[in-house]
Amino acid sequence: MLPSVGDVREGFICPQCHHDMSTMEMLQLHFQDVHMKQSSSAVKGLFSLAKQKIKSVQDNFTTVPNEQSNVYTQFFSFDQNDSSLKQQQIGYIRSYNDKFKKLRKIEHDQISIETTRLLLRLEKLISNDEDVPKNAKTKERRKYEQEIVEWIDDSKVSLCPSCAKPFSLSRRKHHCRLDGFVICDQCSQFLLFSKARYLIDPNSSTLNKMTANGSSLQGSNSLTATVTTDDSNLNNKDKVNSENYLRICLSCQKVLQRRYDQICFKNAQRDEVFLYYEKIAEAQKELANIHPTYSTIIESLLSGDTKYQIIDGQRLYRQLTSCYEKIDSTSKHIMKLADSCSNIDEDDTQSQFRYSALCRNIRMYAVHLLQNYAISTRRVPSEDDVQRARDERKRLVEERNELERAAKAELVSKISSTDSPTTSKKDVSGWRPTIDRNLLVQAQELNPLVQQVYQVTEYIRQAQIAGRYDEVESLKLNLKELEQALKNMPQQENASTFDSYAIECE
Amino acid sequence: MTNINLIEAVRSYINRMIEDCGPTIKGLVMDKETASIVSMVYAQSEILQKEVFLFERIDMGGQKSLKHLSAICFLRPTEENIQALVRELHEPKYGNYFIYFTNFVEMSDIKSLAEADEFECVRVVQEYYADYLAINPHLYSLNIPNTYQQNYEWNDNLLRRTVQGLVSVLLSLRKKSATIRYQKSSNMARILADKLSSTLKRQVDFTASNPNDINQTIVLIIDRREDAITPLLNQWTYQAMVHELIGIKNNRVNLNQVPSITKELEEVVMNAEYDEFYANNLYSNFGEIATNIKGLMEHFQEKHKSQSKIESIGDMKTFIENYPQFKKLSGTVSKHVTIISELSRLVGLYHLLEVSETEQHLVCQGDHNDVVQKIKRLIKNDKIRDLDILRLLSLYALRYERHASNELNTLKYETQKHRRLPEKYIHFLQAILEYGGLKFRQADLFNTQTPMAITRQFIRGLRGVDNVYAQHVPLIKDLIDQLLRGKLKDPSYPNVNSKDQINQQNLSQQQGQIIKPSEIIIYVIGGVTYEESYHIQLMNKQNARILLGGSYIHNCQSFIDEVLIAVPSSLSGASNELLSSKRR
Repeated sequence: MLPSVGDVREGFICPQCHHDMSTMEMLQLHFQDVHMKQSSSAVKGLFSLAKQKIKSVQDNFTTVPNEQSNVYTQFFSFDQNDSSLKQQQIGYIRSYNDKFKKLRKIEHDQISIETTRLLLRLEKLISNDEDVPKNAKTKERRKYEQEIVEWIDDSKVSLCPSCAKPFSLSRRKHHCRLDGFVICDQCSQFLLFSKARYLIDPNSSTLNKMTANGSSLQGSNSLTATVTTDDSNLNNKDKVNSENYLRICLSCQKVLQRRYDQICFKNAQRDEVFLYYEKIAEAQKELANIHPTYSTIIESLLSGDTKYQIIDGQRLYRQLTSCYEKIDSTSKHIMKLADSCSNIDEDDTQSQFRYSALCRNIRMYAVHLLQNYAISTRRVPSEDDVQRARDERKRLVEERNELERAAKAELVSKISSTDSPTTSKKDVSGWRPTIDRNLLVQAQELNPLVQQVYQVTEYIRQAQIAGRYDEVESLKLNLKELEQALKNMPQQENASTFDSYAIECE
Repeated sequence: MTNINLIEAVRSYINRMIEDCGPTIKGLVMDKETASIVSMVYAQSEILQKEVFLFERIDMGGQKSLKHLSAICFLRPTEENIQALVRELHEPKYGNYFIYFTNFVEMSDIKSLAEADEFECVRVVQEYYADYLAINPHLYSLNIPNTYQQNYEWNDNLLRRTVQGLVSVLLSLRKKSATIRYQKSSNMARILADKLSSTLKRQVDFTASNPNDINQTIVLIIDRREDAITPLLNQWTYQAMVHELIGIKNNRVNLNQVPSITKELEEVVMNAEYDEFYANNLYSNFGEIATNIKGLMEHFQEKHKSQSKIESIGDMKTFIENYPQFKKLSGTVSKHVTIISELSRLVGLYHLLEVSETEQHLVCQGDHNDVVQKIKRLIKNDKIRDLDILRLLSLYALRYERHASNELNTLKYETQKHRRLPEKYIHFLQAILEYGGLKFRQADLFNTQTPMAITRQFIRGLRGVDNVYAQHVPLIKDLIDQLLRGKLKDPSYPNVNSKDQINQQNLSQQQGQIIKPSEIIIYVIGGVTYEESYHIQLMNKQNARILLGGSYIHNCQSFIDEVLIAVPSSLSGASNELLSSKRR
C-alpha cells in the first residue's frame, strides 16, 4: 500500500512540540513564549548519549586516505570530448499513440455507424410533426412505425431471442421499434420520448439538468426502464404526463446506452474541488507576477532610493496579501471538502479515500506555496524607516564626496599633475572604487592575500555607499573566495587579524 | 566527465511523463512495483509540487468520477495491469489517460485497450523503460528476493521479469545492443544470457544500430553461487551496516526495534538524493561516520542556539527565513544520531568487532588451527549472537570444505553444547555447501589454489592492512579487473553473441588488442550486497564506468532465507535426520 498522505503533517508546525499553529504569526508568538527560555533538553540528552557511544567505536577505525586517481580511464572507450554525452539523455521511448488511435478508430467506426443509424430512426419515430400519429395504440401509429423500420416476419420466430422462452398466449410477441426484431414483453426495454430527445440533441433538451450532475456516470443511471420494475410506474406516468415511450430490444438499448454514457461523460459537471483549485492557480499566477516587482520596490526603498514611493509598496503588499489569503482560505475550504465527501455514496469508501486524499494534497501544495512566498516577503517599511534610509544615504554620499575631495587634494599635493585626468573622469555612470592609501600602506607588510582582502572590503564599503548593489554582491563573492583561500593558508596569525578586521567592517 | 546515472535515467522518464501531461491536476496511478520504482527516485512532496495530487494503485476501486483529473498510469505490462486498465477504460474515473508501460507491450494488449476506450479518453500509450529500482547512481535491483527455485532452475515468470529488467536498464541508458558474457558454470546464467540476447535482437526498432556506435557495452551475468562468502560477512560502511544490522527496504528503515524510540522515528526514509549527510557518508566506514555525525551535531547545536535566541524583530525574521532549513536539519540530525547510536549499541552488545575480525581473518589469512581456536572461543561467549556463529561456521565450511583436518563437525558439536541454534540455521550449514561449495564453485574464492593467487594474497598481506575489518575484497572486483585487462577466460565466461562477432573478437585478441567497453553492466543472479556496491563505487570514482545490479540487495538474513529456499528437497530431509541425531 502506498504511504497514506494523510499522516504527513505539514503547515506551520512548531519544531519542538509539534503543535499546528495554523499561521506564521501564531507560530512566532508560540515559539517565543514557550520554547525560547527552555533549551531543548530532550535533544541534548540524546546527543550526549550518542557522543559517549560513538567515542568508543571511533578508536577502532583508521581513516583510509582517499586516493584520487584515474587508473580505470584507460580501460574504457569513453570519449570525454563527445559533447552529446556530457549530459545524460533521457532513455529510449517507444510510442504506440498512432497505432492505438488507428485501432480505436477501426473498432469504434462500426459502432458509431450503428449508432447513427439508430439515432436517425429514433428521430423520425419521436417526431413532433402534426402528420405523425401520436397514440401508441392506434393502427396509424403502427403503420407509421413500420414505414420507418421494417418489422420482421414474426411467424417463423417461436422463441424469444433474448430469453429463449417459447412464445405463447401469455407470452406474446412484440417488435422492437428500432430494428424490427421480435422480443417478449419481459425482455423489452422502454425508452421515454424525453430521453430519446436528449439523446438526439443533448444541448436543447430539458433533461439536461436532470442528468448533467454526472457524478455517477455508471450503475444507476440507466437510460431505459424495464417492464418488471417500472411498468406500473410508466403507465401511471403515461396517464399523468401522457408521455410516450418506445419499446426497444436489448441490443438497441445497449447501443443507445453507450451513446448516453458518452454524452454524460462529456457533460460531467466540474466537481467543486476543481473550481476551487482554479482559484488557487489564478492567485498563484498573480503572485508570480507581483512578487518580483514587490521585492525590487522594497529593496529600493530600504536603500534610500527615491525611484519608488512607499505607497507603491503598500499597494502591491495589499495585492500580495489578498493573494495569500485567497490561496489560504480556498485551500482550507478544499480541506473541509475532504471530510464531507459530498455526493459520494456512503459505502464507496475507496472513492471517499481518494477524494479526501486529493483535497488534503491540494491543501499541502497550497501551504508549501505560501511558505515559499510568504517567507521571502518583507513588510513594507514605515515612513520613518524610509526617511532614515534616505537621510543615511544622503549623508553617506556627502561623506564620500568629502572623502573624495580630501583624497583629491591629497593626491594633488603628493603626485604630479599627470593624475588629474583620472580624477576628473568621475561621473555618475562610471563609478569606480578607490583605495584608501593609508590602508594600503598598512597592508603592504601583510601577506598579498590579506592585502587583497583589505582592498575588496574597502571596495564593498564604497560600493554600498554608492548604492551599487549588484557590484556589492559580486564583490562579496570575491571576498568569500579570498576568505576561503586565506583559511587554507597555514599562517594562523594572518587569518586571525583578518577576522577581526572583517568583523569591524560588518 | 559525466558518469552514467541510473537514478537520473528513471527520474528523467518520470519528469517527462509529468511534463507531457500538462499543467492540470494530475493523479499518478501505479502498481505495486512501479510505486517502489517511483519512490526510489522521487519524494512524494517533490512530485506534489508538480501538481500531482493523487497517488494510487491501479487496483483501487471506487465509483466517483473525477473527470477533470488527468491520470498518469505508470504500469508494468503485466496481464493483471492490462485487465485492470481495460476495466477502468470501460468506466473511466478520470478525464484523460496517459498510459506508460515500463516495458515491451504486446500488440494484442494495445488492441484490447483500444477496444475498451469507448470514451476516447486515452491520450498517450508509450513504453518508458524504467523497469528497475535505481538505488544509487550505479546500483540497481529488480527486487526479487528469491530467484532460485528448487534445484537452481529458473521459474518462467522470474526469468521473464529478469530479462525485462535488464533490457530496460540498457534502453533507459540508450544502449541498443551489448556484448553479453556469462558465467558458463551456471545454467541459469547461460539461459538468461541467451534470452536477453534474443530479446534484444527481436526489437527491430532499436537494433538499427548507428554505424558510429563503436562503443560497446558489456553485460556480464554472474551467479551469486560463485561467491557465497560476501553476503555472510559483517559490514562496516554506513549504508551496508544499516542494511546488515537494521535493514533497508525501498530506502525505508524500520526502527521500531530500537529501544525507547519516539513515534516519529519508527520508520525513517534514507534517500541519498534528499539527504546530504547520508549521500556524503554512504561509503564512510564506521569510524568516519562517528566523526562526521559529531560534526553534524555540533553544527546543529550552534544553529539551535542561534535559533532559540529571539530577541528582536530581526532575529524573528531570520528565524522565519531559516526555519525550513532548520526543520530539515533537525530531522536529519535526529534521524542519523538515532541510527548511528543504534548501530554502535548493536556493535557493542554483540561484540561485532571481535566477530568481524575473526571473519576477516578466516577469509583472508587463515591459519587453520588459529581459526578453529578463535571460533571455539566465540561459541562459548554468550554475548555473541547465534547468527554470527552461523556466519563463522558457514565461512569455515566453505573455506575448509576439503581440508585434510576439517573440524566442522567438532565445531558443530561444540556449538550444540553451548547454545541451541534454530533448526533453520542447521539446515543452512548443509545448504550453503550445496549452494556455493566446491562442487559448483570455479573461482578461487580464497586465493589458495594457484601459485599466482597465493602470491597475490601474500603481497596483499605484506602491504599491511589498513583496516582489519575490511580486508576482504569481493570476487566481483577481481572479475571486473580481469575483464578489463582482457584476462577473463572465454571458456569460463563465454560471449553469447553471434559467431561473426566472436570471430572478430578472436581476431582482435590475436592481434593483442582488447576491445575497450564503453561501460560494463553487471547482473548477479541471486542478489548483490552493499559491500560490492561500495567496491564498484570506488572503481567508478577512479573513472571506471560500471553499473552493478542483481535480483535483490541482500543482507545476511535475506541471503540465508534465499539459500534455504533453493535447497534441493532431498537435502533438507538429510539435514533433518542430522538434526535429530544430534539432539539424541
